[in-house]
Order: sequence, then structure tokens, then C-alpha cells
Amino acid sequence: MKALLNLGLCLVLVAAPLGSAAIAAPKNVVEEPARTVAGGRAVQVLVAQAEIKSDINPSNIAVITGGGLLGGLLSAAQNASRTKKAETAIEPLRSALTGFDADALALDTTKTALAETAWMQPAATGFSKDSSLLGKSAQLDAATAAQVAFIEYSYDVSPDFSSIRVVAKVEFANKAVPAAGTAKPESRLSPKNLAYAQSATSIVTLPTPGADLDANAAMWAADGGKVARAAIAQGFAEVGKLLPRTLALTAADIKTMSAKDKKKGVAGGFAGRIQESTGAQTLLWSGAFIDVRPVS
Amino acid sequence: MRPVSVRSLGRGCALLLLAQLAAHAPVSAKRTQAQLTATFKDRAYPAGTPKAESGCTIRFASLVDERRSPEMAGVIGKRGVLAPADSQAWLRAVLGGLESRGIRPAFEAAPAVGPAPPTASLTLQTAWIASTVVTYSANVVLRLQASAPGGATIDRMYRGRVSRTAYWSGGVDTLQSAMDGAFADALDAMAADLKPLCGA
Repeated sequence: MKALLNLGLCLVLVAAPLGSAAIAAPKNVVEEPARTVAGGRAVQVLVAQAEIKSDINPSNIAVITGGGLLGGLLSAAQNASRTKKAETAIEPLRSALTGFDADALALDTTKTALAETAWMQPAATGFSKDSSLLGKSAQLDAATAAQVAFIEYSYDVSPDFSSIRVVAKVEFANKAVPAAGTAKPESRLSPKNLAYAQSATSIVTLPTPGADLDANAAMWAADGGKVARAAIAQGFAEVGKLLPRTLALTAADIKTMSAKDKKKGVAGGFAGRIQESTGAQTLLWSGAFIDVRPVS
Repeated sequence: MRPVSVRSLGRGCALLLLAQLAAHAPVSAKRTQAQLTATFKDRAYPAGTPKAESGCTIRFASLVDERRSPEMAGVIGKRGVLAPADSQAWLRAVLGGLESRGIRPAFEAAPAVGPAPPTASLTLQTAWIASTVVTYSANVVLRLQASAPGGATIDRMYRGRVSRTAYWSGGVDTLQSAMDGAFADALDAMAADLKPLCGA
């Protein structure tokens, strides 16, 4: 009986998804009193990539097989194979985008977006490619302001290459270490200690995607990556428009956008409650804004 | 069939849990940054592969690092991958890989007497490792500008890419190996282009 109980416990533990540990959710609105920070707020723009990234749909073999080591190994092999395929397909696009300066776009987007948020006038704006925990902690140490707003941009192609996605992740972290003397400096960046965390996503789709990943990759890469360059620029511009809206949100706004009278929908592979829908453009709310529209 | 004891079941469960934890916690979960070294280890060639003769010398007059944040070579999860601090030493080590491809890179000044070898300048534009689930992909972009005394020239970008599956062994060695593999990829094409320059 004891062995059976242990076996049951073992299966539960091994099959349990390790990433689903309960984590205290950070604040996703900047309430009025938190908008102004004594000691000032600096802005750090982060772009932790050198070129456009690929993405895959993660394997679900581990789930199908009930988890465990074998499922994990099969899943890893399938993920590796998908990554290699995506990395091969994206190569012509990366070549076509040689010289395209997404870092400059990130800086410009930040400048434009923050200009529209009166209370977010930064004491200083920096740029880094180091979005690691220790890197951001070091950037907090180096800041002369009491709080740093990290705005981390990423851009990639969807797993089927039908769209280019630009995401801006915003986190406000305080320079002061909580429970100084006992907590590690990196704990300033743990979700429970962040003063604010939100994101905004723009998905720019091919007007008429092809049948497969390679056909779509060819469309993005054609003519020196003309369509991809336009899509990335458009994605950053849309994120630049969503950021001030995101920063201005109140708890009441979020409640309204999440209400049942807002229809659920799927656009660009993302699900959420539809906030705006005009022709081919859709704005979803799924805990954060997701704008989906074809490249123009 | 032997009955399963509680102790052996516990041991098996612990091993499965450890494996599961390790599979989900590759290099990204570690607290320290991963530091790449200014070295280059070429890919292993199958036994019996004829070694190319290093008969041709190319003098590299300049090695330029044009990366925006040269201290970084990637961010995997929450862990940073640090590039070697000495990018000149790193690029020299990488170019050393041309020797096994029939090209002898020289970094000293051209000889005062005798025929001047073809000269080149190399620019490192990208050296970055990205991760997708448990796979690391290293990408490098090098620009080579070279000219031979006879007038032949090269001005070309070379890309190299390698993906490595980390599983639970994904330490710095896996990252370094991925980066070396990407450079080796780029060197293959570069050496093929440089060889005709020697006879020009």
C-alpha cells in the first residue's frame, strides 16, 4: 500500500509541469501615486538579439506521453528538429536584413512613446543588449535614479513565418534592494518585487501567406527584405502607439476590457477579447494589448 | 517478478525528478553569466580527411569588431552569454581556423622584400547565441574585404550558423562549441573564396 502511495506521489511529482509554480503576479497598472518616483526614474532600452529571431511551436509529446524522462527526451528531439528547420528557413531573411538597425528603431520607439506619457519623463535613457538577470541588476546598480523602467524589445517571425512580431516588455524595478542585507540584489527583478510589469505586442502579417514556412520566408526576404523591413518598422511603430495606452491603463480600464461583453476572438494566432476590429486590423486584450494587422 | 520496494521506488522517483529538473533547467537557470573564451576549436573532421596544405598566406591588415554591444554574445533565459573581452585575440584565434582550410593567416606587417601577399580586412558584425526551448543557435556574420597585388578583390559577407541541443548538459562548453561551429561554417566559404586570390 505504501509502495502504491509512493508510486502515485512520484507520478504526480514527475508529471507536474515544473514551470507552473505559483508566482506572485507583479502589478500590471501604474496607479496614480506610483507614477512619480522620488529620486527619479531612468529608462533602459534593451534589445537582447542581434538579428531577427525564429520561433517554433513547442513539442507537446511530453504532455501526450504523460511527462517523465522519455517524454522529455522525445520532446527535446522534436524541438531541436523544429529549431533547425526554422533557423535554416530564416537565413535568407537575415541576409536580406543585413544592415537593418532594429536597435535604433527600439530607441526611437521608446522616445516617441514616452513623449506621450507626461509622467514618464526619464532622468536618463540607456541602451543595452544584456537583458539577463545579473545584467539588469548591474544596470540598476549603475543607475542614479531610484527606479529604472526596463523596456525590452524583441522581434521575431511566427513559427509558420506568416507574421513578424514585435513585443515590448515593460518592467519598473526599484534600485533599493528589498530587505537590504538579506535579499540578493537580483531579487529586485523578481516578479513580486517589480513595481510594474506589462507588455505590448504588434503582429504584422503577410497579406496573403503562402502554403508553408519556406514560401513565406521567401516573401519576406524578396527584394532585399523590402516587405520584412516594412513589417518590422510597422511593428515597432504600432508598439510605440500601444505603449502610452498601456502605461495609462487603470484597474478599471482592465476590468472593462476583460468584461464578458467584449467578444472573444483569435487573430494572428493569439486569443483575447476583441477591443477594436476594423477591416483587417484587430486589437485584442489578453492581459496585454495585441495588435494584429497586415503589412502596409 | 521481484516486488518493488519502497526504497527502490523512492530512488527511481528521485532520479526521474532530477532528470526532469535538469531537462527543464538548462544553462538559463544558472545565476552566473556564461563567459566565452577567445579561442577557436574547429569542428572534428572524419578520420582520413586529407589535410589542406597551408600554402597560401593572406595578411590581415585589420580586424574590426563592429558589434553594438561587444561584451555580449547572447542572453539565454535569464542568463547572459558574455563574449571574450579581447575581440582581437578572438578573431585571430578564429582566423587560425583558415590554416586547416589551406590558407595561412598572417597578422604581422608585410615583408620588406619579396612578393607581397594578398591583404585582407575582417569585420565581425554579429556573434550571437539565441535559444529556442532547449536548443541553442549560434549565428555569426563576418565581412571580408581582400585584394591581391594582381588586382583581384573580394568584398563579401559570410554567415555561419550552428544549432546545438542542450538537454541537461547545456553548460558553457555547449555555448562555446555552438559559437565555434558557426565560425567554422563561415570559414569554409571564406577559404574557398580566398584560395583563388593566392594565384592572382
